[in-house]
Amino acid sequence: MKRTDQRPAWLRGVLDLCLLALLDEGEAYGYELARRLEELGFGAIPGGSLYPALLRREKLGHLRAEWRAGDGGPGRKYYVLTPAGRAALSEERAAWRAFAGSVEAALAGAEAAR
Amino acid sequence: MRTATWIEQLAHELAALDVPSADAAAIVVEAESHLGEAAADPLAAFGAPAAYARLMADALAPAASAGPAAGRVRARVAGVHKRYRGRTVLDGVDLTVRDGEAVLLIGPNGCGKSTLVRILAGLQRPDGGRVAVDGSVGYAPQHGGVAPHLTPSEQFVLFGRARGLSRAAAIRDGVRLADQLAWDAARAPVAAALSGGTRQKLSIVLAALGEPDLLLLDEPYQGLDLDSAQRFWELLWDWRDRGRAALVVAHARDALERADAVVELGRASAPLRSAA
Amino acid sequence: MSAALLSVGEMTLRGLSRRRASLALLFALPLAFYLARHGQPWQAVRFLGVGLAWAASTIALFAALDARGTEPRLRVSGWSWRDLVAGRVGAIALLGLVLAGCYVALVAVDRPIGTTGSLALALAVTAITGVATGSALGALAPRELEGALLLFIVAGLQMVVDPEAGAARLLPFWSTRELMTRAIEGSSSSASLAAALVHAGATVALCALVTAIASRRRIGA
Repeated sequence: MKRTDQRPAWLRGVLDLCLLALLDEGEAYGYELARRLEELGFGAIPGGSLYPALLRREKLGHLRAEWRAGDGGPGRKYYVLTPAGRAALSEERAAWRAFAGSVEAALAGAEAAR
Repeated sequence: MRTATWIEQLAHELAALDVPSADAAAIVVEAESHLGEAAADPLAAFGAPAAYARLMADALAPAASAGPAAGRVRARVAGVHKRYRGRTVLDGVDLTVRDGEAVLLIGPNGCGKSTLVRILAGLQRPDGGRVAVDGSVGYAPQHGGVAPHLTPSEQFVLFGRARGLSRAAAIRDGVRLADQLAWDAARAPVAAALSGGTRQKLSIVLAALGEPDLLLLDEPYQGLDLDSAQRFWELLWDWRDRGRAALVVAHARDALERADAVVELGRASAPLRSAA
Repeated sequence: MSAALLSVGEMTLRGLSRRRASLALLFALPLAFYLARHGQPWQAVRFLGVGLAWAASTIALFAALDARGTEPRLRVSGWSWRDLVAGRVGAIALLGLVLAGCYVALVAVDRPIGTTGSLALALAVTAITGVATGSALGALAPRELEGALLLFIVAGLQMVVDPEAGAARLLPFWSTRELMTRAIEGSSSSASLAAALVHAGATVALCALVTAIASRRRIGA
């Protein structure tokens, strides 16, 4: 198998969760979220992944959109976590931690067996 | 590509996908703002305008994306080959259908969609590869599939009894499913006297009767009017929301936006879009 | 009897009951043959047998072809191919026996020849071999046209081949002729009851085998 950056594939399953978590710290707009994810070490976040994920969560009622005038340019769409989004976040965070724990346990087990 | 051109094409593609203009305007402004701030090449940041428009249109269709996360694998096809009359129809096809997922199977005429569905139904054997279907199956063939001289209620009994339903339960379930497709089956005449679209509804109901684990529908809404096609999808969404699996062969353009995942035959057999 | 056989059989008969014109023609076929030779009692009864064999095989053939559209998906829904074929053929055989019964009654009232018992046996065996033959042809034929032509070939050969020739024994309705002869001539007849019954039994067994193999392939195991 060709060695490629695996982060995009891994991120696909958890991008929504990360977005909810970031927005739990306060409202933000799309590009801002992309930059913060990049700073966290996820690599460049394509707009084609970011905005559909935000839109889906908006449609599910987990996020609310608020338009603000930008600095000179077109308006900015800010995303705000709703109570339903906060509930979804805590549920999904717990599920992810359990899953990540399983992955870690599997990796640790495999290492120990060597 | 120049940003202005990309933005223009995005707006055009969104309109072509019938995205409501308010939503389309919001999507365009948001992308424009992102590109302005990131000063990035739009193709690198968002991909082709058509692909991005499709992704956003899918995210907007609430019914198609609000379903529960797909569950256990209900049917899996791996590397399936089939030759028919000396011609290769299926050449190493892979496909997975999970619980809670309505998968759309598309591809040009003669690319083996019906053959693949028949293989999944257990009516044909592949020449090579692996096929595993877990649980009961309801199958509606592309043509026919209804008994011409029986009334819908009699056919509900015939198909329902096969699934272990009682006579009364079979008729009750059949009439209820037909009602979801806006069809009054209780008083309908024999199938031969029904219109083509109504016979198609009967065929769909017969496949879904008794709640099989996997629904296989080959061109189920040919001949259905717009309202009935919409109701068909609502029935299907209801189906997968109850955690059941479905594989649908369809050509209609709207099906692409309504299914949870799309598999295209005839080119690469990898899923175009997964439900995740 | 299993629920499967009853349900499939019931729906086969219900479907047929809607085809009034076909059923009327089916009853008319042996009657026409009988009436055409009404002046010669022996020939009239013999042709009644031929007509019944044709009618029974035709209805079985078309019931098999009619079921093509639904049987595979019914198999997917849970019935086994055995239930589907046995239910359908069983229902048609029942109909064939009813048809035979009607003609036994007709002959008994119209112009008794030989014993009613041996006529009833002859017509009942004819109905069963007819249904078995039609079902086998229905399982083999790719489409309706081919099915009808196959039936014409079998029925035509039956008329053309000299009944005394050895080759006549290779045709499915040889037993009909023997049993009818016996019904007409009584126990003094040269026709052997045992040979006729063995022939009929072998015909039904062979047809059942062909039906089973072809149906299993078509419907899917």
